[in-house]
Amino acid sequence: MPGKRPEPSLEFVQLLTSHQSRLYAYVLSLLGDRNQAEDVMQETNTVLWRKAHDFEPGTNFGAWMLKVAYFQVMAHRQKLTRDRLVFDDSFLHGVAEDAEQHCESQEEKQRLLSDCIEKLNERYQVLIRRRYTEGATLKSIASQSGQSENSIKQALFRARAALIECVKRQPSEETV
Amino acid sequence: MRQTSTLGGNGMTKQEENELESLLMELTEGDFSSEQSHRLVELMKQSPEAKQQYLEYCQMHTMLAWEHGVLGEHQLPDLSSTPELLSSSFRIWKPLAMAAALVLAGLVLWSPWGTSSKMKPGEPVASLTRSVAASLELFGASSDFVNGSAVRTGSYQLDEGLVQITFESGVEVVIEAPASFEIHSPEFMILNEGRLAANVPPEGIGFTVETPDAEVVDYGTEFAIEVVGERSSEVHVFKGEVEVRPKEQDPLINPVRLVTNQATRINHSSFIPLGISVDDQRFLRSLDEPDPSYSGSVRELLPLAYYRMAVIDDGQTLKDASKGQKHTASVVKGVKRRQPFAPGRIGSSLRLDGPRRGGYAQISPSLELPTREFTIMAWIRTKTFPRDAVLVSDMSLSGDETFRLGLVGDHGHLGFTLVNEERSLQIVDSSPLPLEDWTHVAVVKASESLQLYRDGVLVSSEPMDGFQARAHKPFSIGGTPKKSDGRRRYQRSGFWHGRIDELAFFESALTSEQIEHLFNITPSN
Repeated sequence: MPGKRPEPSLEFVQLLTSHQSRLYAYVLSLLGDRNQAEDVMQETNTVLWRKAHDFEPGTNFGAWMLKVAYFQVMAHRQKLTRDRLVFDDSFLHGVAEDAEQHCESQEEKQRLLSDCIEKLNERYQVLIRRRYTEGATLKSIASQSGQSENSIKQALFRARAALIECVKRQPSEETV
Repeated sequence: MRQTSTLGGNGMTKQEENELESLLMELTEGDFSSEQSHRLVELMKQSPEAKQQYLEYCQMHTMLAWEHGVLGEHQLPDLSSTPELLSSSFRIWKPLAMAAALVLAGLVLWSPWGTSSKMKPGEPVASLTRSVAASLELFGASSDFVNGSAVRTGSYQLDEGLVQITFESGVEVVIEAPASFEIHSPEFMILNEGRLAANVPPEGIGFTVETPDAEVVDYGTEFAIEVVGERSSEVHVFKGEVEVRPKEQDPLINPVRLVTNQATRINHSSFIPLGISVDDQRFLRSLDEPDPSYSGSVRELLPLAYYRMAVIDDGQTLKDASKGQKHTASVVKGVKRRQPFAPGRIGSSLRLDGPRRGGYAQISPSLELPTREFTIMAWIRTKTFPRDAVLVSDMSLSGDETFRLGLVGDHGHLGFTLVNEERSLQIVDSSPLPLEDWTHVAVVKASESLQLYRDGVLVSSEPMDGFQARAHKPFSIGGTPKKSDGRRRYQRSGFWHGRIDELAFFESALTSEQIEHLFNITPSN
């Protein structure tokens, strides 16, 4: 083996980047914890990057990626004490399959998302942008808008629910 | 009313639906406790619909994070080793462009190749004495740092915030993100990147910090170092003496001795020390608010609210140091997260990054100034003059404003404006503020006139002329709340670029003697 690893191809870099959202969704669904999910996501990316040359162009990148992610999740769970595990093992297996299936449409939905955000009423749009672009907490949104934290919470939930419906409903032919 | 038995169309009762909703919200917005997670699992085991909702919810959260560019800042590997890939596809392809932008912005400090060469964590040699909105990581160990945590030898990465580490010898260092450093022993550490300020008591003499360009040996002092990647290292001495030994290359290059108020820069290309002027405004050296003389005199005048801009560990609260202490303010972060405290005129100050970041602070609505008389006073510093930048304003989300202290126009003229139903009343200082220097300012509304003071001297005054001031809305500091309209986010105006310190609100009109006195008793820098 030569000492220096060859660089991953452009195609690989593109696939890796375009599948980040799916990777995060999958890992978050399996772990049920944002911080743990971000750690595992980073670990998975490292492994994927290192194994770039095991990937055969033309085969299913998403499936390969999630397989690697699954093992990273398992490895991560071994490091944790029981009380920090959100799901037990048997349940995890059940969720893993569903999550994988569910994520298959993610890139397509992702493409529809910005149109769906535009369709929200203004209040919801502002809320989503504040939460995600500015990283504002419920508390700060509430104190600024003079509304209760609870009503912001409900509004944010409804905004997300509306988006979930919207990306499901959109006909997929729209995307080219 | 019985609501528990009402089944929704999905096998869950209405109550369970509500419960699921609030559990999901906790998952993404709050602290998800283990009890809550067990309950979530139960619900999902009972109802496939709940599981479906859970998956959809997780997916939507991640898609939104991705859509808004929040995701990926720290998760992607370092793509900088493939520059040709980045340049060729930069325009074509959004996610990749984002990855490239992250690399270019230097946000991806972590590289998958680098991890193997990191030193292994070892013995505790120091403790974490302060942690301000910090994200500190020790390589090779699960690191959960809180105040008082032991700090072991090892390689550290500080991505956000700032930390104060106190060594067994009493040496205190304050390190500001983004930084990467290695602690090797109680007497020796390496700073690879970032800013570090050290306070070395007599017991700690000999404490050494190595940088990619030099070795800095301390002889009992206060000094600071900034390392900019592999490019250069600067050493600033505020008190005492240090020796700076440029790294190898040429053994004939003699070390530099620096004493109080001297500084040097060593570039990676030449290793020849370049004398520069000492910068006491760059490094946060102490996390306390010293000097009781100014603050004590301010408090004697019974301010309604007084923001000393002391460093608070959550990195966002501005404590009210007035007697009542009830009008806390909080920093509303801009586009990028960065802890908001910087060296101030006295102790620390609030640092604001102007229109690009759009950060500001919101004062509790409980703070109400009387309309008849009041005074607002502060130490301020400008980095640039953003158009119409705000120091204090009562602009609401809908854009209504009756009260504004800040810059008027483009050239650094400080002004104060009151607006009522019929007209506005404005006073403006005819000479511009200095850039990058501290100025003491005060605006006084007396019953008969508006007055503006600068460095203890009256510079502008306007008769009230029957003007009736309106009751103001909640105040913000350094900017105004804006509707987050994506299309217009680049049109942010009114954000302060510089620092604000010792901001005080009084319910009376201070006299010119009082203001002059406060200016005069501020200790020299």
